[in-house]
Amino acid sequence: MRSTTFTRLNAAVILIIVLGLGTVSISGLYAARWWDDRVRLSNKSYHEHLLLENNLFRLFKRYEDGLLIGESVSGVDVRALETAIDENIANIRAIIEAEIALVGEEELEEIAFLDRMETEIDMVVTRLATLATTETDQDRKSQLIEVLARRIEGRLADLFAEALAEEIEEMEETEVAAAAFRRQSLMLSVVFLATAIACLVASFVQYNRMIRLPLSRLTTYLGTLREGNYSKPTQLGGATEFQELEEVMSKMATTLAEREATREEQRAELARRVDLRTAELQVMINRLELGEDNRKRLLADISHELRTPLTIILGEAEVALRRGDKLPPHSADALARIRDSALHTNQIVDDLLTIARQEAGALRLDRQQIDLRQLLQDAAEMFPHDIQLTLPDDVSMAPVDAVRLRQAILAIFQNAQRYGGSTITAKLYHAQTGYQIAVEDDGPGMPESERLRAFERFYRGTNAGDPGIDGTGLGLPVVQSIVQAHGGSVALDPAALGGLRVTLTLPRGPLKPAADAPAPVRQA
Amino acid sequence: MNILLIEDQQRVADFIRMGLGAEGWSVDHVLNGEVGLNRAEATSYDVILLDLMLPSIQGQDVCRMLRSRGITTPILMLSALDAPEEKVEGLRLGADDYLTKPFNFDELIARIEALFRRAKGYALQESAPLIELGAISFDRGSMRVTLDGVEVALSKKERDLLYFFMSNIGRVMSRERILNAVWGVNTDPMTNVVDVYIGRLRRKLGSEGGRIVTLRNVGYRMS
Repeated sequence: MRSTTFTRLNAAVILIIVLGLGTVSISGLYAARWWDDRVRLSNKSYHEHLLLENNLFRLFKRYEDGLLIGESVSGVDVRALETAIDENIANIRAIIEAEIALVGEEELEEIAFLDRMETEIDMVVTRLATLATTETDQDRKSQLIEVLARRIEGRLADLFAEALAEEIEEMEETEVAAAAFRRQSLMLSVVFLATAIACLVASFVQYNRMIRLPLSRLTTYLGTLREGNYSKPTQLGGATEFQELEEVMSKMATTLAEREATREEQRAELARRVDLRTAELQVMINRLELGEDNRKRLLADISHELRTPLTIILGEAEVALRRGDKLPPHSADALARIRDSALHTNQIVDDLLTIARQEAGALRLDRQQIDLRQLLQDAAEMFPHDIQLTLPDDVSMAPVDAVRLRQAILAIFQNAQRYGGSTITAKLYHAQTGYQIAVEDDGPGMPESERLRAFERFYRGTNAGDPGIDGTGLGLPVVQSIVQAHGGSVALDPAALGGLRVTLTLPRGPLKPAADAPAPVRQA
Repeated sequence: MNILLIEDQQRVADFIRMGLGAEGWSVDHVLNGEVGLNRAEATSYDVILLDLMLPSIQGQDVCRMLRSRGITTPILMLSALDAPEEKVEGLRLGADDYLTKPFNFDELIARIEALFRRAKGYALQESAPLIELGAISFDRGSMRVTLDGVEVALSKKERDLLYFFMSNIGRVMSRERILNAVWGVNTDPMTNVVDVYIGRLRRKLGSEGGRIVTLRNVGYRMS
């Protein structure tokens, strides 16, 4: 059954019961009035009959008394009584008619009865009147009265008694009928009530079965679906809508289960692919690490391999030169040049190794807490050219490799002297992040295009002149390597003096040295 | 002086032998560590030159083994490896000094001499408080330099340079050697700073400046 049908059914049942009870009440009311009218009319009729009887007897008594006394009976009182009697009869008739209107044709015989009574009464009254006016003797009159009296007391009395009995009977009948009707109404009401209660209970039970239980089962089912359990079948029961819902839900569960399965597959596939990719990446990483190890070993091997022949060249040249007095001057010069070239080559090897190690994150620094002011002063003193130093008053301690940093500063001084002007200034600043060392010259400077390329290995600017024995083209790259290994940076800018300004920025505090960093910093 | 050279590269050994031989020292050359160990045990040497990158036994192990066998000869390690840890490690194992290749030959000679002197317990000339040479007088205590009793104003580096010369009177020293000793630096392009300072020193020493002699292609000597 559909729940709407059920509801409608319930509504109908309620309606019927309400209507039934209503009908019972209203009909009861109307019936009661009817009974009331009936009883009232019976009462009135009874009362009227009594009046009639009374009037008749008074009239007879009057005539009798008059006759006995010998007066003529006439007059107003007789006439009043006769009128009264007529009135009574008319009233009774009216009552009977009212009863007929109320009850129906069954009262018609009462009209007939009344007619008979009227006829009898008329006859008696006429006889009495006639008797009063005739001239007869007293004895005859008393005999006639006697006969009349018997007649009145006999027939009329019977009629009256009958009429009265009839009325009483009617009243009693009415009572009984009314009582019966009341009982009937009561029973009907009880029946209706009982039905109503039964219907209520039934409806409640049905509601439970059709709607409430299925709903709670539905909630439970949705709960299991939410947990991802799509396989449990469900019995909702209940109204047709729930059956339909059940169908829909089971289809939905199937679809969800399928979709879940597909997703699981996709997830598994994805995981497989990720694992595959991870394995590939791991292979690549291993290869890279191996490559990195190879590179480091290569660096070490190169260093060894190159240094050995350089050692030989240098050693032979130097040893030969030590016996310089025995050598012809040309040979001595040649050997000197050989020696200088070997040293120059060795410098290049050292610089390349420095740069390569720093790129691999493997440049080891011998860090100590050094006052940078002292470092700058040493470098300036060491340098054959004049350097104008500007140092702060504050102590400028920093964890640096003194030898390496001095090497870097000297390289910058070297560049300033070689490519710049005659005035070289060096300033040490305290900056927010650390320290800054700025070296400026008043030479021609370096155009921006060159400044961008200055840190390339072996790049030499336009004013470099002959790439002879002097420069290696590695000066700035080495400086950058050293400074970056310290965790700092180098910058090139135009100088206020007109030439080039080289700024080294060094961090202040105890930092993890860049050489310990796991990832190599790749330079452009 | 007897020197044992343990070096696997023949060509390297050649010039070392020649150069040290020119100084009047005798050099025994072996090509690997094992032979070296045996030779050191069998013969007494004044100094052992030990190359680190050796076949079979590593130089460090040779060093360790030499010491464990009770050989107290001073050991000078030669190596192409320039990492400070290697140096520290080498010294820790019992070597007395460490020199990276390629090295300045003067440096090699100076260090061998230093080791020799130390081993022999010679009092170093440097311990003398006052060094005098001609009119030049160097007071180590007060670090004052006087020329005929008149004080000469010298910068720190000039003073260090003079001191170095006066500690090595009569010896030829290359620019690299001087740079290393006075400035603690070995960078190639820096060697002209030596020339500049020697020039200044000569001027300040006036007539005595001529004592510092330039030997073309070789170096300087103070006589």
